[in-house]
Amino acid sequence: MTDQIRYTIKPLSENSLVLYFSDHINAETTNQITSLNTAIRSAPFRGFIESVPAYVSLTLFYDPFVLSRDKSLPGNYAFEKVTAYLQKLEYNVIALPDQKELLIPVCYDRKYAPDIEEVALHANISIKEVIYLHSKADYLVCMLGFMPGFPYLAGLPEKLNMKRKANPRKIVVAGSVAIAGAQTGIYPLNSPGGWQIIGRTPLCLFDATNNHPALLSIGTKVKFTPITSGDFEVLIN
Amino acid sequence: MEIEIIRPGILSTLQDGGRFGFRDSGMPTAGVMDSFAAEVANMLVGNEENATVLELTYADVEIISITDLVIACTGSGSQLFADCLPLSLWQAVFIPAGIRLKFKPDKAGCRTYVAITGGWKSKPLLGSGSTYLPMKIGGLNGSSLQKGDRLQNDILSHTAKLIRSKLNGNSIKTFNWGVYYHSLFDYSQRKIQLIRGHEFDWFDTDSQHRLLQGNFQISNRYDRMGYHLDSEPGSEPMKQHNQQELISTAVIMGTIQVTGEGKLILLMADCQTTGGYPRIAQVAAVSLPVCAQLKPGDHIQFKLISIEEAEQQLIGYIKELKLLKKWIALKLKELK
Repeated sequence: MTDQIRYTIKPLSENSLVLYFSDHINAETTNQITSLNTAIRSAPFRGFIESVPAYVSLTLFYDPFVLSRDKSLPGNYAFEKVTAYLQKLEYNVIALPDQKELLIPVCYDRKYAPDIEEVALHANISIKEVIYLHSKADYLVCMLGFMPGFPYLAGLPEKLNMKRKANPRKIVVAGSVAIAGAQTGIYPLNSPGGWQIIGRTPLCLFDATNNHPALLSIGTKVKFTPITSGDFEVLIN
Repeated sequence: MEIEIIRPGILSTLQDGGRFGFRDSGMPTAGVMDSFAAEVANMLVGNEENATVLELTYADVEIISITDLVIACTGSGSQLFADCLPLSLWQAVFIPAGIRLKFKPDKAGCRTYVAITGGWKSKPLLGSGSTYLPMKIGGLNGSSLQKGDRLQNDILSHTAKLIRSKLNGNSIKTFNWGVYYHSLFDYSQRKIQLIRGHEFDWFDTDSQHRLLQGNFQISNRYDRMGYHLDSEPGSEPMKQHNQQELISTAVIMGTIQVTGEGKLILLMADCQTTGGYPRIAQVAAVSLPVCAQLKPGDHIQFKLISIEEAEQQLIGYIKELKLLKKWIALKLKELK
């Protein structure tokens, strides 16, 4: 079945093109992108290098010189050949496997959550309710980006939506769980950042010495589970 | 083979062709800024084009040969002196032990590459030796080179062994040939070729016109991640004619983003994998080595070409480099 997923194709550069699936962020789009990405990676065209799935797009990277010598695909240019490959590609839209949610322990104590009070004030609820709402919801990883291993999670309760800070912090500590707009995310490394920090996880989100360096990937289901600062200290060591 | 860093300069790092295969984890590719200079340097000493090289920024670097060396220096950021003897770049050169190599800044560019037969030994992570400073990984302990650091070469290829056997002795030696790079690449071009970015049409015609007709200057906000560009004094910022916001998507080296204030950022080798600023343009791959040699204060202009033309130029350029590699191999055969 090849006509289930609709997308448009646009070359980004001589060695990359982008498939655009939708103007809206939602689980169905993430599902389509993940399905197509899996199909491409399991039967790639000659010259394929890698792919970058995002909220509503999938970018493919390739070697245009290798493609220029591949006579099995029609077209004069690399993006025409890749387009021809995509038209012939067979795939199935598989509902995201009913995977178990990955539980991410988070300590919401004030010392790890410099902005939780502001978030509570903004939402006009108590800090306890912020913790309850944030840890009750089901999240979906919609993309990784911004920095190595940084997951953009959809599924934040509307009440907790809050703009970024007007002045970004110079250093956000690795493991910080934060909110920006309708998204929540986790900083894998110490870095500057403008998201509202409401907790910290002891888990390592990105380990460059591992061949699967990122803990999360697009399509992963995630849930946060509150832990005490005592547990946090034990887990981080 | 081994060297010691006497003066590391402002930013000297080990880089290779880049760390590919992990961009979907948000891992930037890093890698050399000027792929042309780095690839030619490697070819000259018999390495694979993407072997690990030393990338010097602004020169002002001094190293000493602890052992005999066979190296090649390329790029357009420096003048090279061995003790006090000037040495040409773009050729393989034998350096006996105990020689001080000085890289003095040259205004023409800002990045110099030093390749050694066998490539520099690095601490590869995720398939690449490239140093990525924000994460402190790759290269030599994930850091830029410091005074007293020692670097060794890696295993020699067959060609590298041949070069090594022909270049040796007690004094500095070169072959009677090098690469006349001007015939392959024009670093003096100041019209950077662009293809339309996916959000080009989001900008009003005045902004599009300013991009393609205006002068831009490389600002002081400048690093391996990217360059902020200043437009001419008094000129308007880039303006969108719509209110659309980009949903974060992939960006790459050469992407030109427009910030919320309407300013341009040209992304370079260490850039993030995704971004949310509209992409007004993409620098053609064949113009990227020119961008790699730009420094704060340099003026540039842009010229729009089609994606088809950009690809044709790139394929032509790749073919020329392949020919060069064959030519070097032939030259080496003659040595036998």
